[in-house]
Amino acid sequence: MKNFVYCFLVSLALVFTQTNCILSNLAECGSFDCKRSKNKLLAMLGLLSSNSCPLPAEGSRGGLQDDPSQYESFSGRISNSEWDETYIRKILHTFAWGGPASDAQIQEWVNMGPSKAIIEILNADPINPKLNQPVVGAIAATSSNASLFCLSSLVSSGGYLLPASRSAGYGLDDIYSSTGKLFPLVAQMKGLNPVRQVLGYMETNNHMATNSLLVGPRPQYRLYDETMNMIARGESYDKVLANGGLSAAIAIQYNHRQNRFDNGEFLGNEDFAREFHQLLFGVLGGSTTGELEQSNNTAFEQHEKVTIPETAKALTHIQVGESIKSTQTNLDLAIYGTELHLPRPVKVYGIEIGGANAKEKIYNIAKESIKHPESLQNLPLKIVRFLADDNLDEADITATNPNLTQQKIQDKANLIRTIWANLPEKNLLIFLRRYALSTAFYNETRIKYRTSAERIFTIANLVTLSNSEISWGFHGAENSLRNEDIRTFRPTHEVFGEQTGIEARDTADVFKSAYNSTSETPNQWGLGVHKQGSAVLYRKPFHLLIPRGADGKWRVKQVAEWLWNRFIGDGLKNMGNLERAHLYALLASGTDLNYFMSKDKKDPTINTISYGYGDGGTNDIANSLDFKTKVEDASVAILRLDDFGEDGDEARVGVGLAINFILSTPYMFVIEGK
Amino acid sequence: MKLNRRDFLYLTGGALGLFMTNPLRKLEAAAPNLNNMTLIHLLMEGGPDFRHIIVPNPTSAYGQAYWKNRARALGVSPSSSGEWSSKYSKDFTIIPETTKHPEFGISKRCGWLVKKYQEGKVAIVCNVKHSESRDHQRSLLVLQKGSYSTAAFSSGGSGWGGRLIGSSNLDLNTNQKIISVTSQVRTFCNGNPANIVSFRNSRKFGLYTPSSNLIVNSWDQAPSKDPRVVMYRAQSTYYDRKTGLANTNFEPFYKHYLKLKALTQNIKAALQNVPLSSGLNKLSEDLKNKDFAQQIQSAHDAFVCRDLLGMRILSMNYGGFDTHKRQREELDGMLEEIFGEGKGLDELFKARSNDFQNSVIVAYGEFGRQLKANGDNSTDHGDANYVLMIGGKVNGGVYGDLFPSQEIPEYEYFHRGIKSRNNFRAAFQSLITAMGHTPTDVFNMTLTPGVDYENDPKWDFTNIVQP
Repeated sequence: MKNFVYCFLVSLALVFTQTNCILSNLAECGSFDCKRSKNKLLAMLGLLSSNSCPLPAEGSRGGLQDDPSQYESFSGRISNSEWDETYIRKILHTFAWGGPASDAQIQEWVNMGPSKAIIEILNADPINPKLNQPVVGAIAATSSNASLFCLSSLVSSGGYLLPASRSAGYGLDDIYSSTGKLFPLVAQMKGLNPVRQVLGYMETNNHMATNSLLVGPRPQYRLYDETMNMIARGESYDKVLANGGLSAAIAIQYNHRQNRFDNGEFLGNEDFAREFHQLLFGVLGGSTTGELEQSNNTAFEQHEKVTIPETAKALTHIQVGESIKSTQTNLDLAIYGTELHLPRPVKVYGIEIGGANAKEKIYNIAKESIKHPESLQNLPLKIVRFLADDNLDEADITATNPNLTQQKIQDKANLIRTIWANLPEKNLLIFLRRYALSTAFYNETRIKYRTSAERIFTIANLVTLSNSEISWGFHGAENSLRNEDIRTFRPTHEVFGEQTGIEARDTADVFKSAYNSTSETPNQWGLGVHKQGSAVLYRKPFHLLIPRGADGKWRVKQVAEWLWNRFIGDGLKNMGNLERAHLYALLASGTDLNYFMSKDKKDPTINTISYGYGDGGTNDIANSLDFKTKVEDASVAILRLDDFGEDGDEARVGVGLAINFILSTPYMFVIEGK
Repeated sequence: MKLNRRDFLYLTGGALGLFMTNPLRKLEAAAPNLNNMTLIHLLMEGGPDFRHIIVPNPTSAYGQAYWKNRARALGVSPSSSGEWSSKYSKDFTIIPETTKHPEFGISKRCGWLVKKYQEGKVAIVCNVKHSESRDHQRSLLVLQKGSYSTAAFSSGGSGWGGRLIGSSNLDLNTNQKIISVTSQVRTFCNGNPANIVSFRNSRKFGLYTPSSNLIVNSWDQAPSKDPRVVMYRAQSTYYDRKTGLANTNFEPFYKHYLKLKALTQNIKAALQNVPLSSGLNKLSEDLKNKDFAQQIQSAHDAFVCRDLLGMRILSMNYGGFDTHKRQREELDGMLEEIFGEGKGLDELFKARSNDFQNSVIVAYGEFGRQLKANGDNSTDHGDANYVLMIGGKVNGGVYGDLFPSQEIPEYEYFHRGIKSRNNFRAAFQSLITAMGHTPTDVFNMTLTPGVDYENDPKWDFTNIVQP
């Protein structure tokens, strides 16, 4: 009897504990076994922290770039009164793919003021705990393992982030697949610093672009990781670009790994010798003011017939893989020899520049390139054009707003140049932070048309709430990119970079793919509940993401506004009555506005009718008390996001639909400066 | 066979019935309007070395300079004229000398181009000024905008294709359009966005419409609450009422919606029963450049839907011509994919032979290459270049100086390029006139005599394209 009671009590205790675990899982993260997954990840982390990766990620070492006084006072600085939540969201959307910081964190940044906040927001550290935390579960990497080099090995080993069945193709030697698969995954991962990825993508897919089909993942990941480590550490930008220019990836892309000086003769090509100046530093070889006249222009003659050929000679005896007389079989590392290197200084920009090998010469050339008048004119605009502003064309007006003038754009461009010129040592992070706090950034003429990659990475970053969701295959960006003809590390324009914002704006196919994705495959981004048949397998933990209102409840209007700010980040500027009507219907009823308005009367025109708001057309909600009342009633409906039954599921489905709707609006395609 | 009256009426009636019910009759003009020409703009990005496929006789004075100094790029010894002659006769189709040009060879790997040249349908326009800079980005802007004074980094403003179309009318059914089959719309097309239709993947064209089993039009069965139907209704009815975006930064996306909405069902219907030829389908496997294969297939469909789309200009591109290394291995293959027999343009016009008669293809890049090969078996950036114009309306032949004798001594030096003797406006004037426009409107450029053009009848290009 005693034994029976004992066993019974033990069993009861076990059942109770297990049930508690299950319920606790459900309460915390909406599925039965998420903690098990979390524990797996933590266990893996334990293993990983002891794993030695040949190219770990590095972060800031402090110094001048992290001194708030650098951002306190400079030409074009905004006033502190302009620094608010919306300003910060614009920075997050521009530099961090939305950067899903919590509301509390954003408020903290508002309170601490721009000079201190910008350092916390805009840095290139591998992990930024304030910027991209999972809503539930663990982050998937340690700081040092957060390089592409390390992550490629980890993911492809199976069991890290992805199950073994889906880990193929991410490895360092998966030549045709790795770069197109790994980077979208990295962009989605919780815990990693999206600013680092934004800058890394800019540098390796636009600025110093190489094509994966030619170069392969190892050299590309090395170029990416070394570049970002140098930027994070605060190295001067000429060194960052020199290092990139000397990389194995670039040497393979342009083939100057075959350049040699042999028996007094230069044998090789001048491809990168030209692009080192033009693509990397913006030195085109003409005057800074106007046209070129080939036959008369001294600058052209100097550049084409001296500087470029001499630079080609500086790029001699770089050994990568199979280059001539190479002792280097490692494809991602370059060695700089002397035997086949030009044994004299080179003359570049009319200056004699020495160095015992290619590395020394190129680093020395870069010191001159960064202060070349053409570079000072062009390079800062190049960087801003890549990241933040498609409206820098001083010759033409790209914006459609008739109030904009050429002068305003010119003033903005000149301010950007001034910010750059005033840096005694060109440091990319200091430049970008100052730019982000300047009237060139906070400017009505600033328009950033999101490229396909920017839009899709932003969405993936903002809809993914945990790394478990990645493990389960939700919200992957790779296929969405392919639908828009984008593959990471295979730039659309080869070495001239990826699709531009203006191209994305002008190409209806881009709009079509985006528009269709939210309707044809609504669970791609707008997943609320994942079912198999009638069984619920996963519930998105929106209750942990979306804050409750002041009354402790989730009401439709407040949730709609919160979602709008998360994905559009414009301070509700463009969230008009028509948008509200649609969003309130989706959230309140889990159906569209037509269905919502029609169901009482069973309106037979449900599929063709359309409701306006304030446009004076037929079915204008503003002109009908009945319609307006319906919409207003919807706005105060309560969403039971913390319920794990049917009511809660309907609310979660509604949130998913609302997300899809927001993503399909024209406002998702553009970031405005003000 | 003798037909009696009854049989005659039967056959005639049958033929008439067939004619009336053929859906394709609605889509294709019975015969192309002589003034309704299509310009196919093929942008060969990177700076294509046309002198690699159009070569002089090695025994001529020019040929000797060429073959000796281009030997590395051609894969022959610089000192063996025997090798040059052997390669010339083996790899090139010989075009005999005429009063307008010396004998020259066209690469046999561009077999379709050779055939069309022999049919008198290829104009090689020589010494065309392309750019004053050897910088890709700026030169591509110059070429597409059609202005030599285009500043570096100037992304805004119109392309010459956009100006050629020129209309601001939003009526999609009757207006003239540029159809872009490239993955990104090129600067060449820029102008009024209403005049550009992106037709990248023709078989997946248009806005999503749920399948008929999801759309339910009656309340007797509850209208579908499937999320695909919900989003379809939400998005389409939202955009239908989103009329207030004129002159805002968001207007382009609203316009995309309107364009796609107007065309979706008609294009789907038009292409439903028009399969691609086996030759066109095979390009997806055969061509290394899958993007170009897709463009050719979409170009075919654009011709099928020409009237629906209002197509007057078709924008295509092929990238990768910046061949600084191993030119033979890289360049020959790319050019063959465009101009080879059984390849891109050949398969397109096998399937659409009528359309070749009424089209003009302009194939060119942002600059030519240097005269002398570099040390990596290839060539570096140069200056002027040939422009190829191909089509049923082209008066074929060589226009200008194919191999200028002034270049002979230049071959000994690196960094020398083809000198320009004329310009884009001169090269395209007859094309623009044939399309019903004024050359100076489309190419509004200030030209310097003796630098940008020669006052010499030899450089009169007024008759390259016949109206």
